[in-house]
Amino acid sequence: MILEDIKKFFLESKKEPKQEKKKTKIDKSLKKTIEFFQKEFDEGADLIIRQMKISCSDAAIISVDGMIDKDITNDIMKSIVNFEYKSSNSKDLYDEIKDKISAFPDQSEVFTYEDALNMALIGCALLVIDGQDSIIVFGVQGFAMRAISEPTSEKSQRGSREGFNEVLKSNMTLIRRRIANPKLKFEMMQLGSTTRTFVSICYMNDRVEPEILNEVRKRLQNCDIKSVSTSGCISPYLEEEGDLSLFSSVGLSERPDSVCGKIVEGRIAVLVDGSPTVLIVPYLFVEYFHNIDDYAMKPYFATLNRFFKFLAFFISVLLPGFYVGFSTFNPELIPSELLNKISLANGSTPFSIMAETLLIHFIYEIMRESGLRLPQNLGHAVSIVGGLVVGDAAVNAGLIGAPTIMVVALTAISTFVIPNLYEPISLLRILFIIAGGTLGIWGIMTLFSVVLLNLCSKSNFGVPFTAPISPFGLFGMRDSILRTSWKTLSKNRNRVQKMPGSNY
Amino acid sequence: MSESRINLRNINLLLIFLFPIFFLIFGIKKQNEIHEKLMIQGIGIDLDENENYKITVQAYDFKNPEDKNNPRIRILECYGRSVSESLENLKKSTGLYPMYSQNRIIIFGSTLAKKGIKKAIDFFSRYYENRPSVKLRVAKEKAEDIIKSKIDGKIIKSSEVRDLVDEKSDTNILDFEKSICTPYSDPSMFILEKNENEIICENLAIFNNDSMVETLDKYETMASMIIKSAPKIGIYSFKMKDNLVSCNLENAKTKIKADIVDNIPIFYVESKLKAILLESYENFGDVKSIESEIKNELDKNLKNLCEKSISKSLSNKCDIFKFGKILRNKNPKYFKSIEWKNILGKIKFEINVSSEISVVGTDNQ
Amino acid sequence: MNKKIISLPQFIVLLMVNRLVISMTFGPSSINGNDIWDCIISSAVVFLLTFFMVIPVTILCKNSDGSDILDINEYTLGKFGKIISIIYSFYFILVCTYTLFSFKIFVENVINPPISFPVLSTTMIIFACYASSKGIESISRCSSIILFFIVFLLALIGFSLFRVTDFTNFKPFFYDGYESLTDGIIFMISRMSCIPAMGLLIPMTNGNIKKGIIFWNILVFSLMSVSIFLVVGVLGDLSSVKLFPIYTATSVSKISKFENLDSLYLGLWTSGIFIKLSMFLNLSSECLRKSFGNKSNKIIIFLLGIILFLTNTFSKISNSFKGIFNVKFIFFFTILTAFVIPFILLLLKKRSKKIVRI
Repeated sequence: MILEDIKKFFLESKKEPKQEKKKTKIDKSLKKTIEFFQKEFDEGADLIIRQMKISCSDAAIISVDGMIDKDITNDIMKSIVNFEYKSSNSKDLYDEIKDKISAFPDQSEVFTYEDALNMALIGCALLVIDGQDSIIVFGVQGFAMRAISEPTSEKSQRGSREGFNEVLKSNMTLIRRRIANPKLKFEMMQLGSTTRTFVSICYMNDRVEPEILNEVRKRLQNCDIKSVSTSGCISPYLEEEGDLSLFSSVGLSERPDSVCGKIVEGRIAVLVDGSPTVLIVPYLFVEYFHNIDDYAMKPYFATLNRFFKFLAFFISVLLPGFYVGFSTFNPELIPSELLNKISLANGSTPFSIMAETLLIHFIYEIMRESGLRLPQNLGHAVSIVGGLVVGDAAVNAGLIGAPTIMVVALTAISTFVIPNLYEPISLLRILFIIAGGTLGIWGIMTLFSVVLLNLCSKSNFGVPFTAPISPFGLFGMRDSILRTSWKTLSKNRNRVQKMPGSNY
Repeated sequence: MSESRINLRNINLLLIFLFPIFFLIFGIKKQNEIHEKLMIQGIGIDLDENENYKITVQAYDFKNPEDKNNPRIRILECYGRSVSESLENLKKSTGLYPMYSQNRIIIFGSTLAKKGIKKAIDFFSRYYENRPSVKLRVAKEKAEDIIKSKIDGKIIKSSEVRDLVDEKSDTNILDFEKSICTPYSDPSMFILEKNENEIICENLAIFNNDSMVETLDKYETMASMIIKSAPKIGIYSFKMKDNLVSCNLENAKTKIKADIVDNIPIFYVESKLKAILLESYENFGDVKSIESEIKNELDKNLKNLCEKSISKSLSNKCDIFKFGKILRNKNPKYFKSIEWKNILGKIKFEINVSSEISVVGTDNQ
Repeated sequence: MNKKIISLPQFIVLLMVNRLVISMTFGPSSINGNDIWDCIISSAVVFLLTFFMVIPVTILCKNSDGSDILDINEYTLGKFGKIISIIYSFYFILVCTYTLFSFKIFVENVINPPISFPVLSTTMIIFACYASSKGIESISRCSSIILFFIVFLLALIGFSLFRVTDFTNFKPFFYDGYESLTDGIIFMISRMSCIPAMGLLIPMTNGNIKKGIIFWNILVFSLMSVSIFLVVGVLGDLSSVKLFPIYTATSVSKISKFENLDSLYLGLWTSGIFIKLSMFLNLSSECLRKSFGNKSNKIIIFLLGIILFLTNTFSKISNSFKGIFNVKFIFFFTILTAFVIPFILLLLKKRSKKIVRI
């Protein structure tokens, strides 16, 4: 048994080839159609079937409760029922309804039960007429949804206050409103064999690299996921095969303006129904340090801002490691006044510097996690208690040294400068503390080199993750570490596929 | 299962967790925390009657601090046949491991300095924790007195003693090693003298190889600093028409050229420096008009001082001004043919000091 | 056929980092205790010699439509070519071993920090194996970022050392005889592991190789000369006494309140060593992969890693093992792989072309 489990852990299970489900054509009998829906929903409470007579034929409206806008449906039905029909058979009646009566713009036809079921499930109303082997579909979706509001994780000073919400169509509209260009394309597909979640690929036809687009389509179509509850579920399928990095080469954003900016640069956005976070591919490492506000400021300040963000990244990853490494193995590198303070603090605490730093990091991570998911008021209470307990009481009680608290606090603040990199940073930080505490500066530098190599070896959809830093490209530098003025930038936009070292 | 591939993602996960464990288990060598170390700030080395070393150490003790913000400054004494053996005794007497990387200064007692300090310094140039930039000084009497000296009941910190001399004129371990590794250059060190309430550092000790042979007085020391192109020399006062004139001397630039005349090396020492006029008690009238007079007088005085300091050095067969190197570079063949140390007393030199007087503040009218 | 996966600047950077690592270890022990000041002339001679030495490799790989020296081996010599591939593989792994060995001498004898060297070296080997499995492209990208940091710090240290340079320390050349010149040349050539590596790297490089090599050689020469100049300027005659004079010189560098920058420098040197190990492990595995019929690269790298680990551990126990780290031993192999084999291959290739024409 244990052996089996170990085998399961180390070996990938054999992939079963995907089988295309056969689709069933719609039966002409209304009764059979109704039976099909009743069977599929298994007497589910939310299936609404309203049978009626239109002119001479039997008909039914099928919808899912709560998913349709009842007022619009009512208006459509009124015009259908009250119309004076010329036709005498169901075929002509069907055509009359389809072509003359209903002037509803979002209207289509389906010919298979599976398609009809899908349409009903996403909030369309289905008009079934007895004797017809197709169903008229009205896109009358109307369900309760969260209003468009400013994304909490990506606030901006001068950018738009709009953020994506959980509804795919609404998110698509937010993008379309910003790029009023027919070259902007949306492609729909359904992912998740159980949830059948709608996913939309969004790109600009004239800017995207066709090979990258095909690869995105291929990876999404081949993804054998069962449920797609959030965009994070499909993000690993967009990463390169066998990629073992801590960093993700799939970008995330909740801001339509920044997604539009990326699309214009030739990237592809993947919108997932039910998730306010949009995935962006291919994504570069430097983009983690970009912010929509950078583009609203003068280039000098924006460049300085980016420099500080890089500095914050290095501080948040390396500072605790260097602090532990230097104070344990290379005290000669620390200016003597500072070393005196560290030594004094260390002398009054029971733990070694490495243990102390690790401990305080663990406490910090626990506090962060506890404050993050609590109701806002409680979250404040947690942060106050945390601040008091760790910041003051621990130092006063002589459990933790004040310099260590300062290092951890500085590190924590620096991490929030680049919130999207929080996960890899917090993991790396712990590794660097251990490397610094056991092998000093030698260990830190060795680990640093490996992390660097890991970053440099990453490339997604043929574009190196670390471009344009390495491979270096002066052109790409205009909007990576530096941010030149819009006059320069708008002359010739950086296209992601044209980054140095990319395959295109 | 046989057709399955290795699941890299899970192996990666496993490695990420194994990596820290590997480090924690195998990487940790028993390492003492900083507070378990005796952070040495200054070392005084003396030689006792039995030719054993007596080492006085000024160190910070963080384990038993004075208060929350200040470490305890401890003065410790240890004895032994060698420097390392003596210092090892520190561990035995305090229970703390000595840490040398923050050491500021090493002071040698005059007895030891006269006998030769090469052996005493060897530990500091070999042991990895010692930094080559640690400053070296000679005590006028005992090194112990300097390390132990107090002002207003408080011990004078070694860092303060180190800062008595401008860094660029000071001698460190590396300079000393450089000077004694060849027979044609010799080291020099500043002398620390303890008065009642203060420590004074204005004289220079001249070494022949590693033994102190002569000392230069305050003004000769200033002259030697001019020859060594020191950026900050100090305030020099001299009498002129029965009045005392004080100048701050700085930015000395000295060029030494060598030549051989009648098979005897001759060195042309050309010094330029800046002198800022600070005091002149008597009203000279228009200072600008007598600027050249002050300059001539100053140049004359400094030239005499330079001559004195070079003569003192050469008469003791000490080459603290790198004359040997200059001659070697100028005329290697000749240099190879002579025994430099033997010829030192015979060499000639010509000195020319030119100062640029700068009058600041008032024009004294 | 090799794909052009690295650009010319990456090619130069890769070779530069490898050279920098070696330059750090330069000292009187490398030249039998002679004066290192004369080695400025040696480096000038080696600068010219390098142009001569790279000719066979460059011509061989440049006109071969993307085939590297191993492909040409197999094409011209058939099965015998496999032996040559193994010689190359051995040489590359020897370079790795030598690099680790000098790292060990340095860490254990000079700095002796309170860390466990076996753990450090094992970690480095494991990481280097991982890095080499990622391929030359990734290593070259990583090396350019590391070189940036190294150059930045070197410039700082160089600037701080220049201020304390004493010009009287520069004695006339060959003051103590000409031995140091020849010893310097032998030492520098024996460390020219970059030339054999070029045999594999040139076909992967996109750009004007000639310009690249000239630029690289000028950089190497200037780097060597500047470091000798600074070291002698700061240390004077002491530079011929200290085991690793470049390290001693860096230990007096100081920028404002931050003294003792040597530790930082050594940290970056560690990164350089990591790059060097990764690159040569990768090249060595490439040689073996080609001679043993395209076996999985990862398994070969794993085996080479074990060899490296064993030699690293073994060198601690056995004194006789140190024989292979003799300068002359490495000099012989460098000349063989950098010049003799490519030269013979070039001749054979020209001959076979003539025969085909006839």
